[in-house]
Amino acid sequence: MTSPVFDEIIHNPVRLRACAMLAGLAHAAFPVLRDELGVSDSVLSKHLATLESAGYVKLTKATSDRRLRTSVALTRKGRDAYAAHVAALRLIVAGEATASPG
Amino acid sequence: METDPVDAQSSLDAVASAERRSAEIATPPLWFDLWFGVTCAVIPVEAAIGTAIAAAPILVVVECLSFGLLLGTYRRVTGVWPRQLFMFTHLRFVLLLIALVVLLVGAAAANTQLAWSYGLGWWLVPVAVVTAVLATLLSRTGNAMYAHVLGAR
Repeated sequence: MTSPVFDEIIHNPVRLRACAMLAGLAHAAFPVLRDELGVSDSVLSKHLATLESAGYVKLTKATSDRRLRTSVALTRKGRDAYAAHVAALRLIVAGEATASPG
Repeated sequence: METDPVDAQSSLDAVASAERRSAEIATPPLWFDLWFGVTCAVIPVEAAIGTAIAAAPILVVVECLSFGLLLGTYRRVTGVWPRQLFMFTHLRFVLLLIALVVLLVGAAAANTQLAWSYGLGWWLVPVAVVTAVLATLLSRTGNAMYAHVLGAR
């Protein structure tokens, strides 16, 4: 059972959706994330750098077909933080439902 | 907690939508299952040829190359790599894998027996086709299960 912990780093909408996309995957290519989130390269890079500095994602660069390809994966710490954050969001919503019956 | 319930609910909606989309992207398309099924069907054919004539290492090489190419193509086309280990906590998925192993071992054993008794013949074609169709269906079912589990978390 995951303990709910609200995480300000993950809560940013782009970073939250990025974590949600990555949660079910071992890793995803940078362009896939960029296209799915509907942001530019630079915006996604900035958000990923924030997640990476928190130890939540790992970026891997590899050369394939003479092109540099970046793949992104959630770390164990990132998965735990994401699960805890989602649990915290559910708690907030459930708290509201309990506080205002009907 | 520094967010209000409305914000939290919209965040949860965004999470659910992103997880569903992630599952859609990671779920292998039909060509993956067909390719997988055909590659699986090579295993019993290999067993029959190995029994009736001689071991055919070229088929083993073709099979390994086909599996490797299949996974490489999937990764290139989708741009993602799924997490699969968590699926082993789902009994139905494990049963599906067992069914696949039973199918392949069973088809290989049957082909070995038939090749031993009758030599190579046209019987090899329907056995290979049935194996390919069943392996394709098992692959499709497993991938649908994966998409459901991932998208419904």
